[in-house]
Amino acid sequence: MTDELPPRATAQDFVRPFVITGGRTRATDSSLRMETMVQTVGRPRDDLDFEKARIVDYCYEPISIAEIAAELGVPLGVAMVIVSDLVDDGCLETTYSDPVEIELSALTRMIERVRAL
Amino acid sequence: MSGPFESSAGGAVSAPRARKVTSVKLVVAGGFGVGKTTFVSAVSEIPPLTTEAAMTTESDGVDDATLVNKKVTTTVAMDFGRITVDDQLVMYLFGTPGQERFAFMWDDLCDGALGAVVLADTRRLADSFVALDYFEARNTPFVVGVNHFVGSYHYPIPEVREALGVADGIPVVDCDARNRESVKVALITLLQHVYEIRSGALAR
Repeated sequence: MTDELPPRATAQDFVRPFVITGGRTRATDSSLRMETMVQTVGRPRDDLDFEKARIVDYCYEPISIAEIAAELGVPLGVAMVIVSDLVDDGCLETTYSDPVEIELSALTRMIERVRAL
Repeated sequence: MSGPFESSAGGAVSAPRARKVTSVKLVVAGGFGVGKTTFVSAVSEIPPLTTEAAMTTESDGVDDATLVNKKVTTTVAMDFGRITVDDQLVMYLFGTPGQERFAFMWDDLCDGALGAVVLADTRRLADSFVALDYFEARNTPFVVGVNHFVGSYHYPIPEVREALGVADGIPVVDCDARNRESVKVALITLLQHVYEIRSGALAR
């Protein structure tokens, strides 16, 4: 009775996250960061994969890649690859943010905002 | 900067031009269980989200368990929150993965960070050394928030500063991660510290 235990779950029983990206782990745009803001641009498309379509739907308001990853439940690296593809496809735009370029006036706004919380 | 009437190549068929929203990343670091996620949730306008980073890394002596001659994949979780400053600027607060052995992936996390709050627990000060060393080495502006736990002796700030061995110019403040006002003070201290560094650098 006990000699026929069900087989243990193995790694093969799960869909590996990077299957979604076709096994790619690097985004075509290496400047993407987890906090990079993303926004949907262009006309709605109906020729996108499920995950891509979800991201396009999700990004009508500017949102960070980290939030996309959390929303889709995929690792950051996966989100970056897909976002990068969608930028190449002309579906998304990113806003590059470099802390060195943050102006003092922006810092003042941040301080005021935190104070007002 | 693109004006409102400027359009991309296919301008006629484009949706309304994306409004430019810039983001700023702040990092909350410190040892395991020091209150990083609590800190983030104290000021975040959303309940902290968790994102996983699946890191494929060459085993180059990160820790003993990975000293095998092949690539290893590690999954680390990071909690983060958001503060919308205005319609052009959003701040994100990211907590570093707690265990020191994940310090190897801090580069991804801290690349592009405006600054960091290093939380220190007076019962386990040594746990914050990794973070302090890291931000010092990278020249990332940081402040130290001393998290006081119930029942722990309240060490005066100068004593904590000395024990941590942080430079005079680095602000060290008391910080109760469960208290929103206290967390706000720590964040404002960091932002002002960054401001001072920047304005000094600009004046030179």
